[in-house]
Amino acid sequence: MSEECIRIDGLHVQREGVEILRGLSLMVACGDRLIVAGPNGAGKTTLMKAILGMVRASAGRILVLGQPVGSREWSRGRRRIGYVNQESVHVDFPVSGREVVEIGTCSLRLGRAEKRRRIEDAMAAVGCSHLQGRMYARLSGGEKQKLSLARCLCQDPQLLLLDEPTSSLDPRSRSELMDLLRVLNERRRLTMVMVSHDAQVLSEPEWKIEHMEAGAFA
Amino acid sequence: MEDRAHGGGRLRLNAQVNIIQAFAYPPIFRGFIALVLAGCFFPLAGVFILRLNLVTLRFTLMHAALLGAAIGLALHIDPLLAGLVLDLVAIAAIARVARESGLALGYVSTFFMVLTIGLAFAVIYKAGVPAKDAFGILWGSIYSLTRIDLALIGLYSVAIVLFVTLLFPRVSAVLFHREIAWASGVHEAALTTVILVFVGVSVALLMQLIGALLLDSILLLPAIIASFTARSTRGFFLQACIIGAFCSVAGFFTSFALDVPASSAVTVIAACLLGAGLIYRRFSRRVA
Repeated sequence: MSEECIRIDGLHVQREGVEILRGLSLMVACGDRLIVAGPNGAGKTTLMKAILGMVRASAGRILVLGQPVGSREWSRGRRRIGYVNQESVHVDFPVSGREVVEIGTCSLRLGRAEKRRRIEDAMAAVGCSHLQGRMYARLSGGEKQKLSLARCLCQDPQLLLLDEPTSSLDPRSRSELMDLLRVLNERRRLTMVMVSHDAQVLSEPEWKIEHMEAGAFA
Repeated sequence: MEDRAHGGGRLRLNAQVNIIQAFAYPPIFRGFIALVLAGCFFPLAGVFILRLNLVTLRFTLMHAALLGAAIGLALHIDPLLAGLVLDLVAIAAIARVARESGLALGYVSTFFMVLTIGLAFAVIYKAGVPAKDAFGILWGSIYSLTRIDLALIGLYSVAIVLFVTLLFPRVSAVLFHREIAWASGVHEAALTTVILVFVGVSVALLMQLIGALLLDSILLLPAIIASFTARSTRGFFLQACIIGAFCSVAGFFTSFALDVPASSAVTVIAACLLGAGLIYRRFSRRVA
């Protein structure tokens, strides 16, 4: 395994003629915890989506776990990247907590029993086993984020991308989530890149911080 | 009881006729089987429509099926098959234009909705297609189905059940959140296209079966009612199917008992259940 988890060289991203990212370069080593901070509109979420391959680069290159984003090899290993998105997903249709976590296993070639074991282990690891049968729509922001983390853990990821995971959380849930992330990083050597402009999150020790402004690192 | 037969003819049945005897008539038996199959399995497509907000697309597909029927009648080919083909073409075009242009599916669907109905009127006028034959598709007829129609409905039912059950976690991921589905390794664009095809075919088949004006009673209403009561996506699919099956079977026998068209009996029963569902929802929220 490469010691470089993410390598970005001269990344430019344009959307409808507007340059969102301007020549970004970044290296994240395996096991690192990084917060990308910056005001709204700085391009943080676009950067995250570019790493995930959801947004195409107009110039530059991104290597994730040694593979160029968009390549066949990267596509095969896409599930090694867990993604917790910006806000607790607003879903008003019936979906249970377990079904949300089960999404993390859907592209794994495992037997039914193994998938079940992974779901149960992941839910236990983040302390949300009691949410299995609960309706997702009726959960609090913190409970939803725990399910998102459990969903990602099912994928057995090496990299976790978190887009404003604390934005809708109260202080207690925020603190619980940050503790949980620290434990996952230490026990599983999970590389974490978090986008945030939450002042309390930015004061967390042991996280490296990169500031973004107008599509570039400040 | 009266229902419009294919090509504008009419099939009149004595309301007093024994149901068992009635089943001896192939058109009635075929109609019953088709209605039961549609009631049991087409609400699965209703769940897709509801969750992915494809309501505008559904109207577009109705108009495309009408254009197909008009072309079919003009060229003396099966209007159902022609409608099916036009629906599939419309879905391919809508998906492509939405992807290439970056426009919302709703805008693109609205464009095609207007275009197809305009073309349908032009074809009806220019080809001298009797309007009542072309518009027959708006009210459909469960008793005018051919064996091929029934086979298509059967095949579709098997296909959508296999799709939902075998690919459940992936389908569920796409219904939950498309970006999360992508990040979880699901080919969400391909899966969404397949879902659109299922929706298109269900609309085309149901237009022939119970008509465009009433197809929501089988396609959408069971899914809406199930959304009030289900607590999981599996439960959502299952309950929509059970409610759809109940509405179609109860509607069929009610139509015999009250001497009304089967399609309107199914619709009234589904609407009553929806009303009960709304009351249940209001009550359960108040309790919660």
